[in-house]
Amino acid sequence: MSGPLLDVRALSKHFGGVQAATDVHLSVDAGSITSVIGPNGAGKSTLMAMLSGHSIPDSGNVFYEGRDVTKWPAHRRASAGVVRKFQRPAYFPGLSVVENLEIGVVAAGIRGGRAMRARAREVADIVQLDDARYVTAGSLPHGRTQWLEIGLLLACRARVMLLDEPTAGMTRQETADTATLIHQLVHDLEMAVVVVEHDIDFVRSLDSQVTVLHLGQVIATGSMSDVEQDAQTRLVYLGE
Amino acid sequence: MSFKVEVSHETASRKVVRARRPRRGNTEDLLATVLFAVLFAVPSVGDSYQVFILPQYMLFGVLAMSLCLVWGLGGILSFGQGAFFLIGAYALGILSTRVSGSLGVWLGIAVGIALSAAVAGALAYFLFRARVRGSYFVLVTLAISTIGGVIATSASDLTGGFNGMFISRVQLTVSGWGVDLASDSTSYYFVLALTIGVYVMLRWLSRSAFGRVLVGIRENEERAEALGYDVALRKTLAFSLSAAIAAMAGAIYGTEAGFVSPSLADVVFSTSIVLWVAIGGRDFFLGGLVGALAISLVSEKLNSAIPEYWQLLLGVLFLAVVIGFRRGIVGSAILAIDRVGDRR
Ligand SMILES: Nc1ncnc2c1ncn2[C@@H]1O[C@H](COP(=O)(O)OP(=O)(O)OP(=O)(O)O)[C@@H](O)[C@H]1O
Ligand SMILES: [Mg+2]
Repeated sequence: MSGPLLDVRALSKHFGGVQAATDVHLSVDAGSITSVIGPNGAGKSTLMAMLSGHSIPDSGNVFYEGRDVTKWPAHRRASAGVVRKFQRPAYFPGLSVVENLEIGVVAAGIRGGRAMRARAREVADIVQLDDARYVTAGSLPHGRTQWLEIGLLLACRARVMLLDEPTAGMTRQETADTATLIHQLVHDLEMAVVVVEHDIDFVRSLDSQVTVLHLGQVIATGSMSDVEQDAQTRLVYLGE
Repeated sequence: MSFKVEVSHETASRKVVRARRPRRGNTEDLLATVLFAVLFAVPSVGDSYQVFILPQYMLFGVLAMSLCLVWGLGGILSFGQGAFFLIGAYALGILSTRVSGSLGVWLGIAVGIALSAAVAGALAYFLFRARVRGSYFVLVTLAISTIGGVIATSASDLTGGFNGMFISRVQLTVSGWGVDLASDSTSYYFVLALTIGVYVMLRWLSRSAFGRVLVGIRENEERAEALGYDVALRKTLAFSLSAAIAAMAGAIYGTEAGFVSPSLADVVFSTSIVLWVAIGGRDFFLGGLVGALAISLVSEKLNSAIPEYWQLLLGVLFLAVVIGFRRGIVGSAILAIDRVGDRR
């Protein structure tokens, strides 16, 4: 396919008097990582919501595989392959890890007990939850629930993963492992991953395109070392 | 998937709580088999009154299972099941007297089911699309019951109004073959078969892809939607199916009891259904079924012996379940048996 997998053009969105996004552009290719950074309230989650269909922009368009999906509701966008991990934990806490993953697997159109179990097991292996398959998800330690959510996105065959703060609450080791996992998903499955993060070391280890948001506007784009040189970024974000 | 991510983990966070696959579901089916076997034996050992009254209670059980479908699996509490039960009973009563022969009977059952499913479906779709949920939806279902009762009372030409309507025992026949519900023992086995059929169908549904997703919606609606499920549509389907089951039970109840009145849609009866399911255990169809059967049987005895105290006792039981015993009596028993099984 020619052109980017996900193409975001001139998105704007306001909430009352707050301008949460102004003329935001973003282009995401298959098999790539895009990091979005910015201080609290910069509009990162708002951007994710407009990509996932949870929020409809005031103006601008979102194209996925060349189709204009700007007004598609979240469930339709997710079944087309654009799936979001929310900033706060969102999984099925009362169910076991496999039961969680099976609900994702069904969304990928896989039917029949055996096929569902087999695929759920594959996904559990990828996100290192193979030893915890029958554990109630709500009793997993926090870091592992983040991986369970990534597993849910994998199970439903996401092609674009929108990860809002995937390492929040993780230990340093878990954070490093998460970077490795994301690299593997992108490399082996040609997945496109958009990551929102505050942890600069983590973003650096992703070695990706970085977009810096501030007050709803893109103030810098480039590699992490590029944006770290950017004067405005240093001012508003890195606090220098 | 060919790769394995090479990462290390802190051992503390990788504590394995349970290594084996739990055998969920078998306990419920096993206990249900015992219950059905006992019910099957009742006509040969019990007295004629039991053979007369138990089918009505089994139909209450089917009604309760219809609530388990939406409340237990889908997390959608409904006080409207009584209204759908009522629609089923009136539809059979009205059409079987106005259209002669077996056509009238089948038409009555079909119209009751179709009307309930359509009303439930249309209303639910509208509300779920508008993201009405939780206690707001509960209030709407209470209104469904109230409106159902009001219509049944005011359309007295059709329904007999406040005084209710008598329905004779019908024959369910297809080209000469079928069952004559006029005989108590025939109708007993017929209703038992229907109850088993609904139980088996619902158990199958709960294990199907549809059932799993419904549970997902109950656990986290936003997550289910963001995985690609049209949750409003799925909740609507569940609610509509549950109304259809309630209406079918209501139709057979009408002819079994021989009488139907608007009280089937009043707050007392609607609350009773919720009570059966809450006390039995909403997470299991067997919980609803046993709750309806047991409470109806005990109610009948105690209502005449200690009328005031019995209502109070039921109220206290309900409170106890709501506060500290969310899984209900049957639900807790099933989980306790499973836990013992897992440990071995
Ligand atoms: N639903 C909403 N209603 C009103 N204001 C909102 C809403 N969602 C976001 N905002 C506002 O829009 C701005 C951007 O919020 P957003 O959540 O996108 O920031 P963020 O970059 O994700 O911040 P954080 O790092 O704290 O998660 C904030 O000022 C926020 O208060
Ligand atoms: Mg945010």
